Amino acid sequence: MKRAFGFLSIAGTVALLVAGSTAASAQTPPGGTADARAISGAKAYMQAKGLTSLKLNMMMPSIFTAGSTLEMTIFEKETGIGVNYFEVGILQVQAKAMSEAVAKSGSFDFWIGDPISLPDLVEAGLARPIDDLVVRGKADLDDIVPGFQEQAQYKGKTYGLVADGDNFILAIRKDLIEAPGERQKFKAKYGWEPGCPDTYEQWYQLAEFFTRDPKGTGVPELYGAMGYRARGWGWRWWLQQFYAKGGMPFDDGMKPLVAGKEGVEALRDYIALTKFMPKDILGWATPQAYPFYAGGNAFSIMTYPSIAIAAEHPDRSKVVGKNKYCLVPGYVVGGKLVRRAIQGYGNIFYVSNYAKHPEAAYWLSQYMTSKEVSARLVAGPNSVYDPYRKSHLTDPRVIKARTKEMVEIHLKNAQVMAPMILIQGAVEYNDALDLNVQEALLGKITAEDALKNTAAAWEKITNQIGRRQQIEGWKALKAAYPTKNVPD
Amino acid sequence: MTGLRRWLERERVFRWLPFIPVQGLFALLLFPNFLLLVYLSLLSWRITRGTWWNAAFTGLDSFQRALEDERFLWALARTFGFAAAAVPLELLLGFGLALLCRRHFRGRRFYTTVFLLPMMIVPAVVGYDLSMLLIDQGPFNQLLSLLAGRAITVRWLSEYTPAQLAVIGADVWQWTALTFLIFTSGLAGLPEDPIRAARVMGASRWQIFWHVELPLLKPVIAIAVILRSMEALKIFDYPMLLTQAGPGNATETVAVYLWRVGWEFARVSDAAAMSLVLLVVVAMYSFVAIRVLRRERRRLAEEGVA
Amino acid sequence: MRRGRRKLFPLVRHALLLAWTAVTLFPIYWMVMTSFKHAGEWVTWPPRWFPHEPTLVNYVKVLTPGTSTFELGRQTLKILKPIGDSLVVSGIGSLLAVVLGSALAYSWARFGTGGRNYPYNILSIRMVPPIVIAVPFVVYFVTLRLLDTYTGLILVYVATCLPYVIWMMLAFVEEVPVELERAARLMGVSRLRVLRSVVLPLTASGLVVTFLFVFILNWSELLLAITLTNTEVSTLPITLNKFQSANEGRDYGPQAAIGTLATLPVVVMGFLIQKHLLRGFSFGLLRK
Repeated sequence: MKRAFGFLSIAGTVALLVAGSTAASAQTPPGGTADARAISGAKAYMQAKGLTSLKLNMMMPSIFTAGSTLEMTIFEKETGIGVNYFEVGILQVQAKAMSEAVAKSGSFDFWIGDPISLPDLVEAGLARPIDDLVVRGKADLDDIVPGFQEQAQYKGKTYGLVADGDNFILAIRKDLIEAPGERQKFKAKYGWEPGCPDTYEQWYQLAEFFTRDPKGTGVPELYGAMGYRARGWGWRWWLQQFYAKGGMPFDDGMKPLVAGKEGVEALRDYIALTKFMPKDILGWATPQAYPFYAGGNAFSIMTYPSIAIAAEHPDRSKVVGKNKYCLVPGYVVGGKLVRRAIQGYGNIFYVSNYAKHPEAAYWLSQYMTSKEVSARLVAGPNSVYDPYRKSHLTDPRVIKARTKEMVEIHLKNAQVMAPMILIQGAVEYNDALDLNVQEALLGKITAEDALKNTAAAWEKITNQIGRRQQIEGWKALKAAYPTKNVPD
Repeated sequence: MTGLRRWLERERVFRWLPFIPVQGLFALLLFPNFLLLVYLSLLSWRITRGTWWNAAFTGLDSFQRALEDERFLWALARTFGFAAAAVPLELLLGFGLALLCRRHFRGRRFYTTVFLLPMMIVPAVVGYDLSMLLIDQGPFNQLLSLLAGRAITVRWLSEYTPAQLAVIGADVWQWTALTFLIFTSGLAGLPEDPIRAARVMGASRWQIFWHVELPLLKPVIAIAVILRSMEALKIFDYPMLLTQAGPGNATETVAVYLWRVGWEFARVSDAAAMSLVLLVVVAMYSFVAIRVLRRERRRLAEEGVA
Repeated sequence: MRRGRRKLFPLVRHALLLAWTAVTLFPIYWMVMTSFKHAGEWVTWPPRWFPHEPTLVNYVKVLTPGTSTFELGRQTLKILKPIGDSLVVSGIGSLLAVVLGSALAYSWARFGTGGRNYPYNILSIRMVPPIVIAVPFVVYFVTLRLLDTYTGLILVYVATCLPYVIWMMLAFVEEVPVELERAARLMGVSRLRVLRSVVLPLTASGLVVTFLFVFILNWSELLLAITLTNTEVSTLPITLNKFQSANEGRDYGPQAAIGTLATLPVVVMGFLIQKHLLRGFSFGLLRK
């Protein structure tokens, strides 16, 4: 007993000493900007640990690596902190992170993930709250357009730094509209001047008009529309339409509301539009869709804003300067137009609770998401990071890579940005929705049944996780829904 | 040194020496795992809810959920369906090809070399390779169009039945190589005496095949069925790589679904319960299969003595 | 009539065999050809059966670490480490499995160690779908500190391959005449000597065949590998999976190059021992 006590007191002294030393270093590192502070913070960390070089382990979806590694190399040169990343498929981040939550092995210090997995990974104990570090490093969060950084928060704490504004945008081909005679022909047929569609009905009409299959082979030369319909992705596109219908996924008691009139109508439109899309769209996500659009094979595409990088790329794109970027279309609800843009992915830098060097990982995250470096990332030729800061609006590098029009429209869309379903069990809720939406798309079940099945599956999930807890999570999330019907 | 030799020389040591590490490996690696699986299945633990060693017992709740989960039952049925479609095809094709390649003729070596190739390719590569062939405007549809004489644009990976056919096709393409190998080995190893005797007695080729060779081959056929069907029930790579288990849930095999439940939905206890259900189903199947195999092998041993 | 038939048979046989040859070779051919194509030729209509300007650029890309290859410029392929890891894990794992399994098969065949039903019980281990053990395995391996280690993955591969090894080796061991061993023993030759100079030479081809077969199984294994590794170990199928999973990149050329590289070593090995392969898969299930 006595011995144990003695041990405790030693431990206590050590703890005090450690606390003292962290208190000493817990001042804001010098530097006028967030990236400078991140660098000096990282240097101080290395000094305190007596290290000259350090390799952080990082998990990253393979699609993001080339866009990220360049800046990481610069950070390594400055601070000695490098990154040893391992890649996973973009839809496997959740699975790998979950397995780490069980393993608690510290095999990676931080990772890039989406907001969908955040609630689960917080509850699983993997995501580390970084409020202390955000305060210390004075991360320049005030520059971020409202709505983005909130996605990295859960139950009042900050768990990550947002690096990406992924609310959808609609790109259409203005050169095709301007082609001789088209405008008149279109107007004669549909009764309005072709241009950015205000509603999904109008987008449908544009898609119908511009689907060109002169030989009647069933394989058009030009497809009228593109959007994602692949397993794991398609539900986001439906959800956006559902939101524009004025739909909400749950009521205050977590009863699913998807199976109502709004849901069914949105799903019918979603399915109807698919007939103007390339046949293989059910297997496509970004890596297939972007080159297809940039190759000039489609009239319009609703997707992530990084489409601009692909479509305006001087070497890889055949449609440079021919694109018009549009506000997301909406629906007329109760006599008023409602536009909704879903935040459909959104890279976030998360720090692991089991990290060997959480602080170093944080400094790198702050560096990557700072005003200056994020602008470079957003403008990069391989970028998957999209503008999410007010300063991106005026940054010449961003404008050069993406056109001024696109950045402005994109950040306008952000005013009517709605989140995905970001509560505990999000991946499962979304998967149930996705599965049923796709079954309806394939004609296996009716739109009504698909959404009824979804609602039933959601009820099951809610009950299993615990209704009371879910109601609280949902209440918190509801605050993130936009109040404006259309952007100013 | 001689002491060690003498020690090894004892029969008891000699015969048990390989047995101990193998059993040890199973006992230390697989058995605790199995216990853990059973333990987890009796909880209602999900990764997002504390730690598993603190989770409370909830009895058979997870099993009830598993058996009420239509998606799980469908995945199970689908997996057996895939196996039931793929394995007989593999056996028939493998057997037919082995028969055709039975005797020496010019080109035999070429054919056998080619036929063995598919099983040497990583299934992940097969999945990827097929995803390249099967695109809408890909070479496979081009070939089909040539053969059919009209344009064929099957959406192999984004329609229900075609996607299922693609997964079955991938399995058949790859593992017919193994059944071919097994049957070729079997045919090559057939004893000559009974066949010669039958021929002397004036039996026709067909009679010899049907009444002499086929019965002799029965055990080999049995092992081919067992090996292939137990591997076919594990299909994971092809759907993951070809279609993300889609479209819809057209190609969601039980392995894929369990992966999702366990790692993506974090419902570990449910995954454990489903795993045990799966294990029971597989065990019932393998019990029967192994009985057949054992009977065949015993009969063989008895005949060998006689 | 009969004569006509006899003439006809070789023709029919060749026709059928050629048909399956075409089926077999078509995907392989396409992969190899794509690996020599420039980006512009990966997807065209009509599809190109030959690269018009053959190129090695895909191979250069996948073999140069850190190069960005994806059309959108987003992926970097790190292929050398996975190849090395795969060689280590499957190589050592298969070797251990063959050593242990063949020794056990011998012991069972000669002494009945483990009881009459032992091989059948072992076979039932192979029937357990890996997904069943994947989840508890992570929990268990963490406590053993074996997660994401070579040792861990090797042990798993040894365990999952042993059933195959034992069954295949049983056949070869049973082909060794017991009388020969007995005679040697009577002459006072030690058990180990008997193993080395009688049993080993007679089962050598079997050992090689068995090794190759389990090597193929381990070389291809995805599910357990992806579950039990993170940063330290990364086998080839994991790499293939993350670059090729259904809606990741369709970076056809470099991926085809990886596929070709991943296939080549096994095919070469298989080719070298083909003669033995063709006799080695009857599992001792034929009457002598």
